[in-house]
Amino acid sequence: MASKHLTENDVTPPEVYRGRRLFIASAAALLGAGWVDRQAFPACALLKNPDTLKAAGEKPNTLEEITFYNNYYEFSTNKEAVRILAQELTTSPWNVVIEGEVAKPITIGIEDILKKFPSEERIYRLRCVEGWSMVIPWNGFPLCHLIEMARPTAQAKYVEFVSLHRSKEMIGQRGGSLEWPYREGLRLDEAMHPLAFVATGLYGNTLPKQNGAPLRIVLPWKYGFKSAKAITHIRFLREQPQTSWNKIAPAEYGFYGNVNPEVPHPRWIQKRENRIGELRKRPTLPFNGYAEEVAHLYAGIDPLLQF
Amino acid sequence: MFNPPLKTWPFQYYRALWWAVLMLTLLPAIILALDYINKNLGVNGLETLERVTGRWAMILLILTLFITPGRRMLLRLFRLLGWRWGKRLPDWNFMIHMRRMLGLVCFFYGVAHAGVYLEFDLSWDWDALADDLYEKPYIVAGVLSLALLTLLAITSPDEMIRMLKRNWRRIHRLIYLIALLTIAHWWWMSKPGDLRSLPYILVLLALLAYRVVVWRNWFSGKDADDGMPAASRESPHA
Repeated sequence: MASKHLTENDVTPPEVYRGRRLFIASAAALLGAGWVDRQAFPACALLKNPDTLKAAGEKPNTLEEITFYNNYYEFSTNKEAVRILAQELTTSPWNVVIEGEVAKPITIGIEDILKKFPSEERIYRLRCVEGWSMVIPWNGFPLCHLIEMARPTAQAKYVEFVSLHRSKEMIGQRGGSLEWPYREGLRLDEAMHPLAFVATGLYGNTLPKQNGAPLRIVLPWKYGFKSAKAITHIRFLREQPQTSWNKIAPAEYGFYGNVNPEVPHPRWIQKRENRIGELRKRPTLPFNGYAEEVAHLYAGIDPLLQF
Repeated sequence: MFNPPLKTWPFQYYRALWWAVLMLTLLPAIILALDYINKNLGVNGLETLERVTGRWAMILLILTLFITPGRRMLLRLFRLLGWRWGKRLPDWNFMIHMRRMLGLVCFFYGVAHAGVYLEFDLSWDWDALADDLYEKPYIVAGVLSLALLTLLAITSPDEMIRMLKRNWRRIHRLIYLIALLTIAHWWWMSKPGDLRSLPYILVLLALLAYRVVVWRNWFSGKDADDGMPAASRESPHA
């Protein structure tokens, strides 16, 4: 099957498909996606409200809270044990393979990633599917910059994130309920959203191991399980990838994983959340309070059916 | 050597023992209250409050249900050891007298557990409670379990025992249903892969299985033990 090796790049001249993408971007701009950088493509859009990036009016959790309470099944299902067990992990050397529907697959070291993308701070709310939440000051860069560098083909509709599989250091991978490696994914337009972020740091320092070092995805409008940690592969795909939690419990975890107080989970109550540092629960907001920025991505999707 | 005279031990020290056991079982609640006052509940304070109260309600339920088989185990142990005291089942009747207190401490932890949920999780929003009950079977199991336990607590004084006569024992057999509801409550709410509830659930299931074995007379007809201090049925020198 020789055709299998052909990509859209081989048959469509670059000017043509770039023009096509530019058209899509302009259309998106007209629809209210904001100002689009026409110089580079795929371009990172701007947010409607830049205050969104700083979780205005919310007090960030302390470094201790963020680093002592981690949901990281590769190490343990016990959130207090992760901090200790994760210290076994070797994060250097670390390579990220970018492959699939891209102009040219590449393998890039973490040092090159850190050099290539200037670091910025994002203070985001994080809502875990288990009903707790935090406010976290991440350091890193927008995921769209990485995608821009990867140059996905016009065939790419989804992006898959594969986490590290190294049971020698990740004790939770020696059994347990999930299939390893951990896999997550997004629609490409979700991944291109300016809120989607690659975190490489926390509170101005290197990302701690228990928080997903050396690099992880952060998607503040989705439940935490969508934000894969310790990423080794980023794959651009034509079809929707099978994600880890969706595979093991499809009735509980959908592909989208958008924070939605109206979509019940069999075990955890999604109407309220337990903000770490507060004893009393508070109401959970649609899209974790980022509805203004992201709701348009899900127009026409019934959240009770595709959750 | 530990070989107390038949008549004086343990009833002579029963009061002291009773208070010691009560204080010991209430200690986790006292520590939790101090941690709450000193803001020392850990990263997820609400989770700590819910877990500690729930876990200790479970432990007290296990201790309460352990009295009947525990009495027999100690009897066998002491017969093996050949000590003068402890060879007769009535020697261990004091454990049965302690059971009511353990059951009431279990009820106390259950109420504390529900109180934490109502105060901090629900903020006494009854509509939210209705939503939770509609949505989550494990909350239904928990509410039912505590409701039945309340019934047992109300009917626990001596006057109630006298008044209800044979019905008292019928009512108090609900403890087995409470145990099953508690298992369901904890197991349904445990996430996949988190087996921290499993040791408690297995012990509770073993204690329930013991009742089934005794009730069905699977091993020996003579040995039937209904957990009541009916010393007359026991042969004094086995």
